Amino acid sequence: MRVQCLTCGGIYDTVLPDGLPYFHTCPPLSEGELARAVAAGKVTLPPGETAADAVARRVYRRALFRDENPVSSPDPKAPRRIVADGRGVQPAPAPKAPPPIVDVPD
Amino acid sequence: MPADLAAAQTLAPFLTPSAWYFNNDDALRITSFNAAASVTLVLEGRYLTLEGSIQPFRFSHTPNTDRTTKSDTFLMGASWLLNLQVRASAGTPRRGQCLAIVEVVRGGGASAESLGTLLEGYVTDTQRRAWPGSPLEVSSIPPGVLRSITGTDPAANVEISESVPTNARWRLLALLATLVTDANAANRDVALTIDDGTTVVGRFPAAQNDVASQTTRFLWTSGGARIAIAQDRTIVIPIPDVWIPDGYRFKTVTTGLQVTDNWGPPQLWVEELIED
Repeated sequence: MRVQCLTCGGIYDTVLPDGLPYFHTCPPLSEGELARAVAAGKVTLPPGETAADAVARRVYRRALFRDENPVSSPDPKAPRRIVADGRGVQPAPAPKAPPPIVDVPD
Repeated sequence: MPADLAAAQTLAPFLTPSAWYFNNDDALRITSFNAAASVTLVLEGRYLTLEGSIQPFRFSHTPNTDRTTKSDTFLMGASWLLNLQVRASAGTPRRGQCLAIVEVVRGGGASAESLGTLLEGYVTDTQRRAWPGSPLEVSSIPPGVLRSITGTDPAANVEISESVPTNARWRLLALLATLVTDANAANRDVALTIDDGTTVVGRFPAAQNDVASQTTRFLWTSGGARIAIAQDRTIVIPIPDVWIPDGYRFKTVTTGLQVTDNWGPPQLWVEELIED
């Protein structure tokens, strides 16, 4: 199933072509995203630091990040949990590019 | 004389040197770490009853498919275990995808006491682990399974970030990604970093300014030297050939990334083992 993360907007397949599950994790903020967050007053940088300096020195994580890696439980009957749900996912919009394999009729 | 020793004296001609005595509280416990889909493991073997009869047994175990641990326990009753093997009876796990550990335990549930390990190692549909016979094998010894992984396609102005999954260990053979820059005039400097979830442990810059309105392919690959192939708009950047544990992360850091600059989904080529 192809889904879009509602936290970071990333699009991915939940199961890869080799049949194994794919565990999405939201990326940290990019330089541009951090600069906009600073301008909006959501985060303050140390004096003298630019957004480019800051992303090179530490991780600026989305507060509602999604991490689909499973959490192990010693109780086999416990429901399956992931590290963080974030804002959840929705079906991904239809892709603009053709799929990786295109069948051409005779 | 205790009943089990008396039985042993009587049955001595039928016992192998490695035969393992089970009392009524002892059991076989299988623990698996599995990444492949639709796998079923079977434990098969023979046991000798106290009456001197050699009987076969066959137990099934269905592992999880996300590398998390799963265990099943099978009571043997008072008997002597003569031999045992584990194989995948369904699914086609490759070496590096399905790790099985078989122990002798006493008691049940979380308080079961482990008395000995009979088998440990990777199991496939064709390769078995056998007791006696197979050595105990740790999960971190290659070769692992080769995988091609399409990562998350980031939104515009968002970096690529891929994590080694829980209970996996990766050797990154190559990471290929394309950056399409918008019309904003700016130099974009691209680097791939490896961090432990917090602290950067490696940084591999492309050492090339990407300007506006360009499509550039970046290939980070183990071994070799840096090459910029102008005709193909491809830059090849070497990375070290090392194993990366679970929770570590590969991500791009693009200085000067503009609002509608867009990274495409990364294509990773990895060798994978279970990190138990």
